[in-house]
Amino acid sequence: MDDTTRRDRVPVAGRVFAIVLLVTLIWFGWNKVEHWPFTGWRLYSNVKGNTAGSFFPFRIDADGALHRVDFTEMPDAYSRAPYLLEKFERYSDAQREAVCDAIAEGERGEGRDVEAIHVYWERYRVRIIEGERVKDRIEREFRWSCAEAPGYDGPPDAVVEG
Amino acid sequence: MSAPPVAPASATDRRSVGRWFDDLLFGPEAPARLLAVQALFLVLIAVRTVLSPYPKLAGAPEALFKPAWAVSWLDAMPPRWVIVLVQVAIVGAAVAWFVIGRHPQWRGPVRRGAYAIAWLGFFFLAALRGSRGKIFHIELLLVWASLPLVFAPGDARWSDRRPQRRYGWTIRTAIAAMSVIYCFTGLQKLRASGLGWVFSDNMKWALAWGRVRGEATPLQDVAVWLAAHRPLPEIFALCILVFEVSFPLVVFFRRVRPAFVVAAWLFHMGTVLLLGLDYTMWPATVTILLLDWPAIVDRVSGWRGRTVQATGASPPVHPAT
Repeated sequence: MDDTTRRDRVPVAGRVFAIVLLVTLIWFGWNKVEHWPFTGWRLYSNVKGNTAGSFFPFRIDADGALHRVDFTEMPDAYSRAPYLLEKFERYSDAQREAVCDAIAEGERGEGRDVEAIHVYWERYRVRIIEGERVKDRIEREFRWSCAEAPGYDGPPDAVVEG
Repeated sequence: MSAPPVAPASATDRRSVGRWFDDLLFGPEAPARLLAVQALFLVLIAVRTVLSPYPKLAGAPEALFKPAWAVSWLDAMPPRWVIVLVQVAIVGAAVAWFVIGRHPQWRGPVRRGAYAIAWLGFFFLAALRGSRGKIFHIELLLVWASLPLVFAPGDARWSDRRPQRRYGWTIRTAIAAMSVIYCFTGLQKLRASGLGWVFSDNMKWALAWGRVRGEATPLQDVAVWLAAHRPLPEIFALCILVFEVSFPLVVFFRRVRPAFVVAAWLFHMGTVLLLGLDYTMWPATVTILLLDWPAIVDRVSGWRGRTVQATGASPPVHPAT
């Protein structure tokens, strides 16, 4: 047996590491525990239908007009904020206010006028009509007003989409 | 005269079965293959580090920073200079691995240290991207699959093609980890939705919706056309599910690996173009781990050598590293 063959063995620590790594991945995966970098690997695992709903933020300008917040026009740091909105129902008032303040700050940073942020629940439906995708809103419900500027009167009965 | 003692057949079988299972995770691979896998992982990590807009993460308002478990010690998104410094460290470590790591005297410690620094830096940046309110999976396969190679020996040489266990276990463990991950992505579809994930209008509507929140995808028209033509969406979904759930076959059968590389690219390019989900880091990781790079290089060199000989020129010379 030459020296290379004698040295050719997997270190015990390597064996332990490999087993622990695989068992850990399997445990977190099976139990769907989400602690990044551990995750349950639930990627698009739920069946999609032709309707879907989400919370959407709108900014109210000085004239009371409603403008949809477009996260693609905001700094990259805001790009995942829509996912925080999906947890809004579970958030406390203070948590919601903090997220709204951050969105309002981002909008103002882009030079846009913000009197308040309104959060709506919207539901959309997608259809295929004569080979074309048609997406329409089938539900909109006002949920929260937040990040209100001093002197803001509160949500009006009817808002005009700007 | 007595016959020499012979081990019972069942004991021999048990030993060989045990050895077979042991080899799945801890079997030998050529040092050249380890070198190739580490080099390609470093290239992928460095390219991703440079091309992804990590510095733009800086300045995220505190309320939008939801630190991932791995960076839960952070109160806020680090400032831009910290993120840039980590990017420089990753690229610097990759360059050191390639340049200084060629020197026989420094090869071992430099390669091990440089790879570890690059992995840790990439892990940190990926954790920051995963700290925005939702688990970010795109970089996770590379994070986990490249981890075992942090513990690989640093003295592998490209000229050494003799399979050895001390070089092989990190590659095989990485392949096993990747297989677990892919398999779970499929299993969770079955657990959450059952076969309805395939045999329902699920994929039809996924294709019709396009990106999250319904924005258009690069091939939106093709996606809508597919959505409108049953049973193409069901076939598409079935292929995805079979690919994911059966991925662990690559651990047991080397011959199927090239097929899974091709399938990974088809699947993930399909999701990029039709669904707008860019997971190209995943097939890149699959390709790096499942292809036998030294064998490919040798085959190409042999083919080129034969071509050169046929034309009368001198064959190419490959310096040993």
